Amino acid sequence: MYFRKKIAAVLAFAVVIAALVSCGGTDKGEADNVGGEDKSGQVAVEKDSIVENIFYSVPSPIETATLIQRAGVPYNKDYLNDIQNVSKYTTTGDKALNLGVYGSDLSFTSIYDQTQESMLYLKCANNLANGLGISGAFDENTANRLEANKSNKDSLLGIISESFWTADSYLKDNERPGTSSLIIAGGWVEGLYIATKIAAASSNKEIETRIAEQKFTLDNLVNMLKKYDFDETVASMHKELVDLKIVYDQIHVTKSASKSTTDSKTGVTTIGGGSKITITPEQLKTITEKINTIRAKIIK
Amino acid sequence: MNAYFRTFVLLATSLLFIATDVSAQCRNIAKKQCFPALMPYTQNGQFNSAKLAPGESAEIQMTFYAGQDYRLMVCSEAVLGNVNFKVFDAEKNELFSSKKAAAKQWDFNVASTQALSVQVEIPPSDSPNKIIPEGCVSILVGFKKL
Repeated sequence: MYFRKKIAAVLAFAVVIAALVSCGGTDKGEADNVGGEDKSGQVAVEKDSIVENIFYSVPSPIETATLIQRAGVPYNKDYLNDIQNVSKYTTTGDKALNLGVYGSDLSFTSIYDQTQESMLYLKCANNLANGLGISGAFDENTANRLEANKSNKDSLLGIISESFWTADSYLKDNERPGTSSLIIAGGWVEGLYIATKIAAASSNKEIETRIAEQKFTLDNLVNMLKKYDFDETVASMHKELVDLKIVYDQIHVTKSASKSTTDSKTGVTTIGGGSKITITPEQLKTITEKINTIRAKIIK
Repeated sequence: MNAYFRTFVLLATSLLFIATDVSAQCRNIAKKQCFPALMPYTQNGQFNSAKLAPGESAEIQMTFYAGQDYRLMVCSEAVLGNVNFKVFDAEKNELFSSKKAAAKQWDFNVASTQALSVQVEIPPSDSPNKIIPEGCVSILVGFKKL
């Protein structure tokens, strides 16, 4: 009888804990400790102060890589993070940031049909994803699918995007949105770093415009990190990007009214007007220096 | 006593199973309902989802680049009824309303890169009972070359 009471008490306690965890809701106030040593599967800490359902989305590294390749610039592997660096990343925060970096590098190598290098970067991403306790992303199955679809670029992009999505959704489902925001930040920093390297080497005007346009995305990224800046690593990255935002805030944007027209055949709407963005050589230089510093801190 | 105990253990175990499963629910809905409908666009790699109740709303802010085609869509659980979404530009001008267009998705492109916000609204419940349903809502974005 005593034993039964004990089982009942344990079950009741477990049910209460499970109910509390499941009632947390996605992105409504979950936090995770990403700054310390890796503790995969750690218990999440809930922070009640975040109750708004406002999300900030940042274009994926795949999209950034696509835009850069379309500008007609050549591939240069020297811009990417050295695969040997992967063993340096031991904290959860470093792993998350560099999963973003290597994920971005994987996007670039894939867009530029560098199959062999793609596999090496996929391995790095897999190593870090495993270290973060993420299952099903950047794994052997992904490698097999990439290999099988290497001649179909659209399929390749879809497979890599799916890995990013799997990692993002896994972390958010497991009350670790802070870790997820660091992956996104790492990927964005790497994309911008590569773009600035290309701009410096080629003076490609389209790339310069793409760098300037990051002004809009940076606003969202800063707001995203702000939600989780009670974590040390997130706070540190947030501060770096706020400093970068000071430079971006000086970039001039001329706004005009948006005017939409819809193609009756395709059903696709084109939003006209919007904004014209202008970046000066000085602003480009300052952004290049700043992003170089931020990226160096991430991959150190 | 034995019957009470067995019922309790069964109930507790079921609740534990449900609680564990709930966290993956939104992800499964997005993957099964949204992903196929997003084709031939490449989804943007981010999972933006929330559990909402009738009368609640959510907003997502993001950047859309010139030179790309986009598909924006919202997936939700049937228990929430007809979930509508609107898209606004930076000056809060309404660019699209799924209710007005009677559409579940929006295909568009932008002449110049700009930040837009998407607002999702869950209609108020007209249920006579006092049980307020809660369900998953996911906002997905796909892109492809213009």
